[in-house]
Amino acid sequence: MAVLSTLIAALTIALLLRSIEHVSPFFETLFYIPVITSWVPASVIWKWLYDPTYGLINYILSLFDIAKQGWLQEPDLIIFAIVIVASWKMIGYYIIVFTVGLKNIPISYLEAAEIDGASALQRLRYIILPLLRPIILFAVVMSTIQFFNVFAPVYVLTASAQGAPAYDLKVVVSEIYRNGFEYYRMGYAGAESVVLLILVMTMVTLQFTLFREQK
Amino acid sequence: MLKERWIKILAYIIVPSFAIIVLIPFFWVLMTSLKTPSEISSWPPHFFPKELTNENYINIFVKENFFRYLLNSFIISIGSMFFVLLTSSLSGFIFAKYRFPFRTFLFAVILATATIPIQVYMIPLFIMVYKTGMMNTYFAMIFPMTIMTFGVFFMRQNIMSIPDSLLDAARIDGANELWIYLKIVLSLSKSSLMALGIFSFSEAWGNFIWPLLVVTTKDMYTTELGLAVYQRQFYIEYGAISAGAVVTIIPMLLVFTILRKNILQGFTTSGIKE
Repeated sequence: MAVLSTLIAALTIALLLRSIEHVSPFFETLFYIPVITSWVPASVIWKWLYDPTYGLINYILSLFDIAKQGWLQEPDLIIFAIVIVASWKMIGYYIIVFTVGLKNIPISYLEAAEIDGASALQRLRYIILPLLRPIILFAVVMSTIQFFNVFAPVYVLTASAQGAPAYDLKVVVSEIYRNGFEYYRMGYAGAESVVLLILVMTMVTLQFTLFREQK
Repeated sequence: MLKERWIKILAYIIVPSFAIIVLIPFFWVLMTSLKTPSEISSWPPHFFPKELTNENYINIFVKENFFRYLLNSFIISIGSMFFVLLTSSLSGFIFAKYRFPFRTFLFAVILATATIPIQVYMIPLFIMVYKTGMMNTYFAMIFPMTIMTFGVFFMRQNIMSIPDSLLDAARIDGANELWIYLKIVLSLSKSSLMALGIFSFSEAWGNFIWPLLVVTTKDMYTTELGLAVYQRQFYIEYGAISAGAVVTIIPMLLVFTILRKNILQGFTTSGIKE
């Protein structure tokens, strides 16, 4: 889910940036700021935004007459909360990735299509997206691996400290951490690591085989 | 690319509003760090603090010793950067310019590990560190970050573009291989070393899970770790936590603003091309 939301948003922004070329470097830089922010401060910032009583997000919702939500306390909401943080953090990186990909598409193809009377959507569907396929594939694989290894936001946002009953969301890496270093079940945690390794390797092999088919 | 008028208008509406959404969290955390506790817990929240206070910053630097955390983070990041540059340029040079048995095979093995994140192998790594009694040392924190597979690949690609004739000319003039590496290869790949250096520095700076495992005392905390632990202890003190977040973000933000061009163009482009 995080992969989808990040990549679709990043691709849309990258496409839109291409049509306003003269200001795009400025915005690319802005969107990159969350990327250089590391996970812990990023999660800490969002924890405060998500705060059930004084958080900014609940305040904005209250302007639209929506009741205060316990973003980090409701089991159904916390996963969205973490998806939002992860997408916010990574989107700038993929905007750059897609921008590089888009810049590599020869303008002449698009101009030829335009002369033949292809509409913007047709050019997007039949020229831009097919030529961008390797980049999209790369982005899907990379972001899947990245999001599977998310740990710091889960550690920070679900921290059940004093007076903060946060729901205990479990992801792969936090499970490895907990079993290995809180319960000292190294063997169990090791087995979980192997599962994670297999998952990562599957993604990589997938990418390589799909790349090869393209050539 | 898509130059229709309606798309341009759409872009001018969507892109800036999206930028504002992306930047609001930073703005908000900065404002919170300057507010007094009573103002932080006011409803509805104010955007700008009515009275500025530096109490939160004093708190984290005096009571929580964030200076020490920053220093630790710098030591680890600089150390990791140095070793990554050394190992990447050396092995990149060897893979690019020398012929030896199993060269392709060895390079394929190295490349295969490129996408495996530390989370996968942290358990055996931890056992290694634990059994050798290296817990809670700078060495333990730096050593998993001394070799970067991507760096080896990246430097190999760059060094391959140095013409062989140049190296041969130096050999004829009597230069030995070490001299060639130091004087020719390194000086010709300055810009890629720069990009890789920034990249490895920020990787080490943002590393969280590994210090969390091997650090046992507070004086060895990195800023990341200090902040994460701090916010677990004092859930209510948002002012101080926000100040901590601001302090943690600023060093990377500085590096980024100064070297923006290198970061954005340097490794994203070469990372994608095969």
